[in-house]
Amino acid sequence: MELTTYSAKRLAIGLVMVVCVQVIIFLAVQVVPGDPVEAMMSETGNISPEIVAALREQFGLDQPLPVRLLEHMRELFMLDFGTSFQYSQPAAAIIGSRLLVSLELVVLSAFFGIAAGIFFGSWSVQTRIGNWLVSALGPIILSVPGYVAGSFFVLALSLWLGWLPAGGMAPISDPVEHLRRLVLPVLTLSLPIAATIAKVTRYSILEVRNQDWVRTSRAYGFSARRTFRRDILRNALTPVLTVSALELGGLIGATVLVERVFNLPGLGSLLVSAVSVRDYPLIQGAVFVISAFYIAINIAADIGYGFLDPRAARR
Amino acid sequence: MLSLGARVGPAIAQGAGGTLVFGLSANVGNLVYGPSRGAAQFIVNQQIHRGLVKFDENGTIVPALAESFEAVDPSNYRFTLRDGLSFHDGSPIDSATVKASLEYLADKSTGAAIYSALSTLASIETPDAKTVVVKLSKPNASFLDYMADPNAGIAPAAALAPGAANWIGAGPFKLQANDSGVGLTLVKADTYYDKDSVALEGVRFIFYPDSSARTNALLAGDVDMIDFVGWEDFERVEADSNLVLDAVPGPFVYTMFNVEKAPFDNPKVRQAIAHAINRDNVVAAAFYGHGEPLYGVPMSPGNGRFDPKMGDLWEYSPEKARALLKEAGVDGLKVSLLTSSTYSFFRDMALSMQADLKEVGIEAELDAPDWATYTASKNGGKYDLAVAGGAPSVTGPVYLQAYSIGGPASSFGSYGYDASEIVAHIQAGEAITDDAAARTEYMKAVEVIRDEVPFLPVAQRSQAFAYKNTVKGFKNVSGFLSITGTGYMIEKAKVE
Amino acid sequence: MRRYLLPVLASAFVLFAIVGPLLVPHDPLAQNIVKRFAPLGSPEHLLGTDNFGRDVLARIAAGAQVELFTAVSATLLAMTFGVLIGMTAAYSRGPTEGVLMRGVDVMLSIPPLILALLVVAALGPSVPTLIGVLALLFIPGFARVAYGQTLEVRNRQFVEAAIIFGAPRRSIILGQILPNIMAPVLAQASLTIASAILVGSGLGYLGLGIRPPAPSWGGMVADGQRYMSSHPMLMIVPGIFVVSTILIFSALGDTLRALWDPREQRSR
Repeated sequence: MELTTYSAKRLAIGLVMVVCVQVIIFLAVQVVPGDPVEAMMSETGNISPEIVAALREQFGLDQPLPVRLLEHMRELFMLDFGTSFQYSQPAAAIIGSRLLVSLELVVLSAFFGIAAGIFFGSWSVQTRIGNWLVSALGPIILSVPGYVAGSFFVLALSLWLGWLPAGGMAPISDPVEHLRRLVLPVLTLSLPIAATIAKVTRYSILEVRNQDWVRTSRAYGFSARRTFRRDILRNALTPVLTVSALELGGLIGATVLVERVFNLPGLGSLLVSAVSVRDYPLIQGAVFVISAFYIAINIAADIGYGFLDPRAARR
Repeated sequence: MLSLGARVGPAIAQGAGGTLVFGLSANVGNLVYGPSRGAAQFIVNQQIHRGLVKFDENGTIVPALAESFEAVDPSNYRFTLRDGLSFHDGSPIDSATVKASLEYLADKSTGAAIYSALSTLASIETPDAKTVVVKLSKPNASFLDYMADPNAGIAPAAALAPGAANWIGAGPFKLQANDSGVGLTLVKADTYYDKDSVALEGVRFIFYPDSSARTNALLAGDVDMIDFVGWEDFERVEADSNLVLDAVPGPFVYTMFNVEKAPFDNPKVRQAIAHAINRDNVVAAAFYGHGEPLYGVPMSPGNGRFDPKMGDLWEYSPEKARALLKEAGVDGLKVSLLTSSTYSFFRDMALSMQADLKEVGIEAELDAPDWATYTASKNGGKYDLAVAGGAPSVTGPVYLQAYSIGGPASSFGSYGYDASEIVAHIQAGEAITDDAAARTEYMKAVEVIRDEVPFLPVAQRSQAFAYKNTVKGFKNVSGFLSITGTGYMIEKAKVE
Repeated sequence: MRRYLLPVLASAFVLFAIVGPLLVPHDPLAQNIVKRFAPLGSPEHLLGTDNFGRDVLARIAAGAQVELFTAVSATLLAMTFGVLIGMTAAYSRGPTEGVLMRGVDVMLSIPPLILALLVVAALGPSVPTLIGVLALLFIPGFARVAYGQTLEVRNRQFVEAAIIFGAPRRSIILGQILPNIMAPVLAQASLTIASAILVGSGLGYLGLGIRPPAPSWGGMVADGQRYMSSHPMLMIVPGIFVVSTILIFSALGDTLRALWDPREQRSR
């Protein structure tokens, strides 16, 4: 199969998957008890049937389920998530502002995590201390859940030492403060990425180093340093990039624990609060963004892999 | 041109009060007219909107949009509006605007929070553009309290529809930016009737739904003030000499019973629960010791319509509870205890009660779902026992009505309870102007509450605001009004 | 050294989870408000008490039982269903294969958070719910391993021969294929236990774990966080237990994988 045909097929499957996820979540939120109108009126003592009916009509909940599902799909096709029940604003706008926070977290964490991972991974095959660091510290880092690490950072670096703010978001108009706020959450998120990438880099380098052409290169008298930089590292990075992409794909929806610890208004906490009041448009929209991101990254990794290794596409 | 310049001049000079950065305890992404959406929304409402009257720092009713008001008798109120009132967009407010708003709030179908106060509305007369006369079919001595409620602001016609956005008001500040999920930026409104006494240039609300994050933000100096200080954080705030902890006895927590089915259809079993709960433990575990146990109905300080005896109805006595259970002929009870995992004090209160119930031989299984499921279960009567929170918007005993009337009619009351006897006594009290005479009537209602236990008050929690000591002129209003009245104090504050 | 240390540590943990609650002289649910916030190292309460005056050590021990039980049950459940799906898909080929493996892809694309939120909102927090959520999250991993291995085994001569000689499907799947894919599946399982503890404690932290008042480590960290400034140990102690348990089980998983997984052995 040609690569373009392969890519087109993967994309089509990806679209079908996005739709499947939407339908599953749409049906699941109907099955779950709890009603958006009642949750919204929970602070009001008297809930008259009239207001409930009026709000249900306004939210379109008076329509039969299949009609609502079709309507949702029609809106989704035009990338319109509807109007949030609790905020009376377009869900897309709310999700957009939250997505920016999540993306900023994910991109910064991925960047620092991957950079540190590659650095420590290649350092580990070159020096004894690097080797020790990656093989001893790596598993420990991977064993610390994000919420534990985050809480400890807040306790030690914010409350006890007072070096960094404990949480919250500063506007981008104050760039220094904005970045200062992000130090601890990004550190928390990037540590496990760094540990994973270091491990993969290490294995990959060890494998490439044993190949014939590397030995040939050394035999031709090129320096060890040049061989490492130009031949080994470059070839070893292919699997590293694949793993990085996959790490990134799952990350966008997985920042919720860190958002919780540091009080950041990201997609995860939006999803938690949207579910707790059954704000259907927000739930559907947030799930769409998270799953589409995950699926897109996977397709990109697949296609990229097919590009590098044409045999994969033929399978 | 000259006069315009003269008006701009002093406004800038008075803007020396700075901008108050306020760490708010919930996301307020949207305001709608009528329904109540909780304490954080009240605070925002009170900056944007304004009603005929409001509360002052002592909880007294004072004029707001109405320049003066007069209770001709308990069912007849006359308001005189100020001159030149207008909304933030410049559209004028006259007696017709007020009439439209009040009629909207009196319409049950709009879900208005103060509907019950206006349910007896007979007519609203507007003899001229400045005069509003409200006539009630039944006397209601607490009517003015309801008119000062944060949900009773006067709103423009465009906001008078269920779910319509309600951001344009007659309050001291107007919305400049709504940064959804992050915060709200409000600036001083030059349309406000009392703008000369507002020192602040604006208020910036930043949402911190997490309680410890909110306190951290204050300790770090990110915000000038926070509401709803977590009880476990009181000492941290007090330890900082640059901060003020402003705590008052506030709203209360209580227990609801499903009286539709056994065992809580039996008043004796409900009485047993009233004696079984160790209120001190609830205060210690759920409120970190910052609260007061309740052995009767909660009372507003300084309201002459309460009798101190109303606060002394049941005592903590597991023996008595066991005896009552035996008398009721129940043994080895297994019940469900509904609470919500969304608020830790709800859950902790239920956990504490669970231990007390076990002490008297009742096995309570905790049901701790998220908020929407909790609300649905509570309103639908899917519980045996449930914990709930109460923050009445009126100071007088009339508030007891909403907590006594059973669900599904009132979502504050025990499912299936018929409160007609209590309501009759309270209504009788409301018709009496004289406090002492009214007390006797209210006491009759409270005696029914004592014997029937339609709901069980457990503790009054300490409600605190905290702020930097550079914030002056602010005060947390004591009692229930900490929730519904304190928001009116922000316009009096300034940041030095 | 490491070869012996890890199994010893893991067994010690399992032992702690099984008999720990019996050894600690306190009921993990018994409240004693008067003695709340007892510090670390109190004579009666070795690890102190929480905001209800409940013994932290007793809660840690009871929590260990819950964490271990949920992680192991969820792993077994996920393994059973995952292997079933993966083997069926690889063996039957054709449309069944497409539907099953695409289904697995869809499962992977549902954000784990929404899955947990909805299941817990529907069924309420409880041990079975937690096991179910965790199992759902880990089924795709097992399905993929089983699928890949089955494809490989199916093409080997002895299986082809069995098919040609008309051996019944059941006996081929159970008798020929299953034993030959078990090693990598078990390797996957040993790694999944550590992940299940990690994810499970995270759900506990978010309040999506088990029904209170039963203790969970994640929930203890979340509760401790509220008293972080005045009683930091309430957060630190369960945090340390979470981290060290995951560390032990993931190291053990790595070791077992190196022993069992043929792919790992080849790359060495």
